[in-house]
Amino acid sequence: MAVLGPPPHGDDALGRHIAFLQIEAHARAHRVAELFAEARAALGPHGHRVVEADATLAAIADRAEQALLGSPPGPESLALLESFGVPAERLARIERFAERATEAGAFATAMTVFSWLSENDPDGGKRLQHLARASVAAARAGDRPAFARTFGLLAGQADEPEGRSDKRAPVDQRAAGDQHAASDKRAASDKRAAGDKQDPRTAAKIPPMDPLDKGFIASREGVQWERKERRGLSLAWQRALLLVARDALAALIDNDDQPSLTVLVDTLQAHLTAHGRGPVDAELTTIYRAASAHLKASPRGYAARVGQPRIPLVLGDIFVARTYAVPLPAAPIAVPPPRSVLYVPRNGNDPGDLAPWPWQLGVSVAALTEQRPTGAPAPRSLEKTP
Amino acid sequence: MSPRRKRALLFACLCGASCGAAPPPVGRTPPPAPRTALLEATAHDVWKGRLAAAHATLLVLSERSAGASDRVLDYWSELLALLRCEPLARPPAQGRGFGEPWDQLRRLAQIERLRVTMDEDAHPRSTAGRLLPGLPVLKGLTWPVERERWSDEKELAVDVRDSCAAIAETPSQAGGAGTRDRALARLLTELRTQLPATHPALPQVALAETTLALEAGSTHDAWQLSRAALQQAPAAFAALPLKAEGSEGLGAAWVLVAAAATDGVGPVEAKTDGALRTEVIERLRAAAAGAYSASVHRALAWRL
Repeated sequence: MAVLGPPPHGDDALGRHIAFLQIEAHARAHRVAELFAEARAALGPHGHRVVEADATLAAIADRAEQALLGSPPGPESLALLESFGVPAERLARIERFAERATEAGAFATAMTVFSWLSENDPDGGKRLQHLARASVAAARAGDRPAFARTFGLLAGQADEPEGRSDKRAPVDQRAAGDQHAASDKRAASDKRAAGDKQDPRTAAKIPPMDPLDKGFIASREGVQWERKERRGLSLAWQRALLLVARDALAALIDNDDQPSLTVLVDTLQAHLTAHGRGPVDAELTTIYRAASAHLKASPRGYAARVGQPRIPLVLGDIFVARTYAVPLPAAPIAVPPPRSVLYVPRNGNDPGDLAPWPWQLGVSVAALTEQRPTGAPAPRSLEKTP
Repeated sequence: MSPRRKRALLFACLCGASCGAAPPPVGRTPPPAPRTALLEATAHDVWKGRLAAAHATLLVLSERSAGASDRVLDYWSELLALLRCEPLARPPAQGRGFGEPWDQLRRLAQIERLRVTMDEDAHPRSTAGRLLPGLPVLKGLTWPVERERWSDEKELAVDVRDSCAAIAETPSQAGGAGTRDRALARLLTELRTQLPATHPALPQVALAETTLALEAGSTHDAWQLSRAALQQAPAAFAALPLKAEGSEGLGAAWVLVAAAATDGVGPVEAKTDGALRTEVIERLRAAAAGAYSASVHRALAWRL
């Protein structure tokens, strides 16, 4: 550790391997700050592709994320994640970290990060995904208020095409009061109409869907486009709802989280009762019934279980620990060959009185003596006899 | 005047010139210079870079010991051939023992001759050359050193050439271990095992031997060779100077080579054998304490 010293160690195979060794040592000794410093120096200049292509960098990134998972989630964690690579890939990196947190079973961290993403990702479609994942993470983390809030938000958003949700009202009110935001919305709407993708900057300021925003000039094409967009988003919301219901169910049953199960069942019931003709309603119904069967003190649970010998099994996930296959770098020590092994007797008759041969071999000694220009100093070894 | 007498006179003159003595009076046969004086003169000329004069002196000596085995003469002849970059016909064969100091020194010269004059495939790097400056007077009267001379043998003009310039113009091939390097490794190991622990050339021979194994990628061999050398003469290696005048000393080079050779220790061995592990760490620590370049230091630190 002390021999290798602090970062940077160089951005080559050996330097990266040294950084990896240091990080391993810091991880064993629980020196998290030093570990982050090493990871920042090693990963900072590189994009995701470079990191993935290099086994050592990938292992460093993995180790750093692992250490970050062990730390309490917060703005510092997100800021640190930004420094673990080029800033342009910040959101993608944060998203990968949130997925990693889910895989690692750090559900509280995953929930925090996905919630942050759902508020900050400029892509509206992805915000919905992030919200769904945050909801699943909340269910797995046993965070009942967060699960109830996020799942309710998702279920409420599914009703958006028919009218504004009360839960989104504050956001929309804020947006309505902001002239700049309104003009940005119009610009984004124009862009969408032109077939462009959403401008991330403007999309970040616009709530995911605003059915009242039709622009200054109403047109038949505009209205048709709005309807199509609403249908698409509605479908996306229903799928998000399905994803959350499916993924959260196993965790809720496993944790025997009856309050959250009740929220799930009630929300699904409300959704299926109100609509009941969506493209994923069949799947939602299956999940709704499976969830109902696990409600212990509830008429709904009784209704789902009655007459059945056992309640349906719900399969969960298992997590396998990662191993690193970091290749050893070739770091040969450049060893200069000895100049000469030649020893010559100082005296012609005494083989014991030896001196190392001072002249370079392979160069004409006689020529050196002859070709020395007048006035030029003679080679040192030519002038002195040992 | 018979050719033999003429020759004797010429040799005497040469000897006188070489030894700094006055020319002999005309009409009198000078007493032959003692052998020790001739060898002294040879060594003196070699150290001064006067190869032609040394060659002439050796011719006189070879005249005297024609047909007899002469280790001293063989050594000085070999050394002169090396300094003239005379290519070897083939790598030297395995020796029958190097108990004699002159044989050991001759082997050292042969090793250098192999290294300097042969390419990777053990072919002469160049057979071209120019006449050794200062030797034209002997043309027509010289014989190759170490060849038999009979009284009825015809005198031949032998070109004593300096091939160093031609060799210097031939680009040396950089590459993996070839025939030459294998022969070199064999000669070095053979010599190192027979050199006494107090021989001054022993560390350099061991250094060359280990470096060659490292260059060939045989890290395990390098580790074994370095261990054998250290066991053979621990005091000699401990006494090596770390700093030389204006450069790194032999000790610093050896410490680095010994550290590099630790790559030859298998990870399983290093984990299971505590003494081995200690030896490896000590070698690496010794090297890491040295003032090497940043890249070398980084490579050492990584191994530690």
